[in-house]
Amino acid sequence: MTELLKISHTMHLEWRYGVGASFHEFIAALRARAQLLGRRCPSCQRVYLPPRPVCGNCYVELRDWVEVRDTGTVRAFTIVHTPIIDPTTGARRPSPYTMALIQLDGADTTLNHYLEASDPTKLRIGMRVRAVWRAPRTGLLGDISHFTELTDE
Amino acid sequence: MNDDFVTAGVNLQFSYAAGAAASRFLCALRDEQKIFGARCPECRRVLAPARSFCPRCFVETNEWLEVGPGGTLGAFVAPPFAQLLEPTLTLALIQLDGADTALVHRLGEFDAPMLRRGLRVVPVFAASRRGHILDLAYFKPVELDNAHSI
Repeated sequence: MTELLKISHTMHLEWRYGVGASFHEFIAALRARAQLLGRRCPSCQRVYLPPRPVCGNCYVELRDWVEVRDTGTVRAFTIVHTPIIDPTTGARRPSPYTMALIQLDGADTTLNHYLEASDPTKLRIGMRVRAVWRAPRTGLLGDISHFTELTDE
Repeated sequence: MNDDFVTAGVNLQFSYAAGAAASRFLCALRDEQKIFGARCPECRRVLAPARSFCPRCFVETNEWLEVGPGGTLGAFVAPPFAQLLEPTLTLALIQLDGADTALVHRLGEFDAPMLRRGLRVVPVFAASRRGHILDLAYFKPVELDNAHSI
């Protein structure tokens, strides 16, 4: 019987991209002041976070920046039981973990992020959450490590 | 970090079972430094590297035979983007002596101007081998003085 082999391989992909004029200011404010900037549509008044260059409803160019708070409301969530390999580190992310769509205070759109709660059975749509920041910040949305329950409101 | 650029990356780890045919092929590279092909009983082509079935006739191959070690250079390319990471990388299709198909592999120990289709090449095996296609490190052009003897 032939010895059967297993071929193992790690593919390392690295990339660098220009963030464009719209995202540039967002990143600068995020890194310098842990400030979240959204963009408001002059036509329908919707505030986009993350910021977009054009309103998806009105097809109008967005130029106005508005500050969005790092607290928000859970609009949807899912508890993930499948262990995944974190693509940025190659390490396995502990499971279960929760992903949520979070509408930050001052924004009209939701942000997809990790949600950590002391008691997963207490997760509710509509629950109030706050961002937990990493230090030092690099100017990416990953500067928010995750969201957690907001208790002191 | 520059404000205008985001640098990111991923490490994709995967492993797969090589299967019976590729395992046997790779073990021969590792243990005997031999390159094997497999003959199709239908069309009589010798497929190298050896395969478990003929993709043209859809029949199992039943005869294994050693091919090479010498071969003939077919198409070759210095992939511009891959060369950003590895400036000397040149990939080639090599038709090993006794084979009817070409093997994709790397070229080494050459000067670019000497490369042409039909050039005679020989394999250089890695000193440390682990049952991997790179146990055969690369193919190099045959010295002109020795060309007649290979």
